[in-house]
Amino acid sequence: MRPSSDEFLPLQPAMLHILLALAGEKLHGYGIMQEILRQSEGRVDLGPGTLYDNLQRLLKQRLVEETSGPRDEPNSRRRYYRLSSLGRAVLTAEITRLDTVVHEGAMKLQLPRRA
Amino acid sequence: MLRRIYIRLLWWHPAAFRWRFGDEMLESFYHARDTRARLRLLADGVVSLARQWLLRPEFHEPFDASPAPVDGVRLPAFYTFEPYQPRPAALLQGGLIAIASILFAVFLINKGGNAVRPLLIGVYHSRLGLLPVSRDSITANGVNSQVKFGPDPVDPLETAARAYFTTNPVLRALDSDRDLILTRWEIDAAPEVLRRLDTNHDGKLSAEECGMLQRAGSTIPPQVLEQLRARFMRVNPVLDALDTDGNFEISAAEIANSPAALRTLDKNHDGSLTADEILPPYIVKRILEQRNRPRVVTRPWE
Repeated sequence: MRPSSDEFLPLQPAMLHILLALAGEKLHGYGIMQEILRQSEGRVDLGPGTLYDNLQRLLKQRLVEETSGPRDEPNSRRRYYRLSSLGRAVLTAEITRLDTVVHEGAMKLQLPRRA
Repeated sequence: MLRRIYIRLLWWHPAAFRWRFGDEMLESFYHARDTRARLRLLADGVVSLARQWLLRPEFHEPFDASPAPVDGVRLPAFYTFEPYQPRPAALLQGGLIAIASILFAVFLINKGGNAVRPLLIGVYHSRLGLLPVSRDSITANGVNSQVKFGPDPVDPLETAARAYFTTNPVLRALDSDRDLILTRWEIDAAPEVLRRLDTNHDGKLSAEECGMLQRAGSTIPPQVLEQLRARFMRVNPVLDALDTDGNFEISAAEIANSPAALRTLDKNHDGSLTADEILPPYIVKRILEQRNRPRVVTRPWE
């Protein structure tokens, strides 16, 4: 039976960044690190040890799955990863949860919300 | 120096983690811009090493990372509903009940007579010609059957590579994970691996240490023996590449320079050496010719 996405919440920051990086397209490990660096505007720089530790946990939890590489790179030894349907559901639930937190925080602190 | 330390750190990781992610972690190290970035990766490697051994015992064994089956399109699979193993007594009881049930069914089939006939599958149609075959379309004379063979399920190149890697001690030592591919990782570890083959500890590898067989007590003249050594070193592309000065032995300097020498064989520049780059060219050529030959057999219709 497919587990509920709520069982995985809240996500750890590294896991959240990895899932976010894979939300767009399938990537290999180094590509994930570069995408996280880009998305966080240089603030989050995951080392390979941290990345692959989290990646193996995400693989085990079936939130991420291995996939074939692009056609122009058929013989590469790189492994490519993509979000599974469960991973996408968990990411969506986490973003919704964070959005609620941000909304609540902005109201309490009377901060202007970004459009 | 830092690269060697990083490779050593990766070697110390649990085998399952190293097998899955080692190559990519090493690739990240190659992408590091400067010494500071490499030092940071080294620190990350030390933390990762401690984390994998101390906090991740569940990942010390390899696991399946293939995509999960889509709901509704599940493949048949056996699994238990409960996470625990049934008691031995329960298993024994279940086994006895299953045997008794089968014996009872056999008894009914043999002795039950007409009473169980409706339960037996196919009993009303148990004759030849159950599936009628129409041969009306076969009217013309000289109809032939043509059998086309698909690709060989066992790749002959892989078969040859397996035999070659098994009999050649240098390749057997270099290919530490036995996948018939010398990865970037294994190429980098070549100096250390080759030094272990130096059984007489003279700092270099002779043709005999590289796998040239010589019968004990043979009386081959020295000049013939030298020719045999030269031929052995030349005919094996890996040994030929390692022996850069062409003196038919692999010196200490050549061992130290072995990663660069091995990379000269990397024709497609993908960073790893596959069977078609390692096997002697005449063997690869013969196998490719055999593999590409169309295999069609035409037989007269019978």
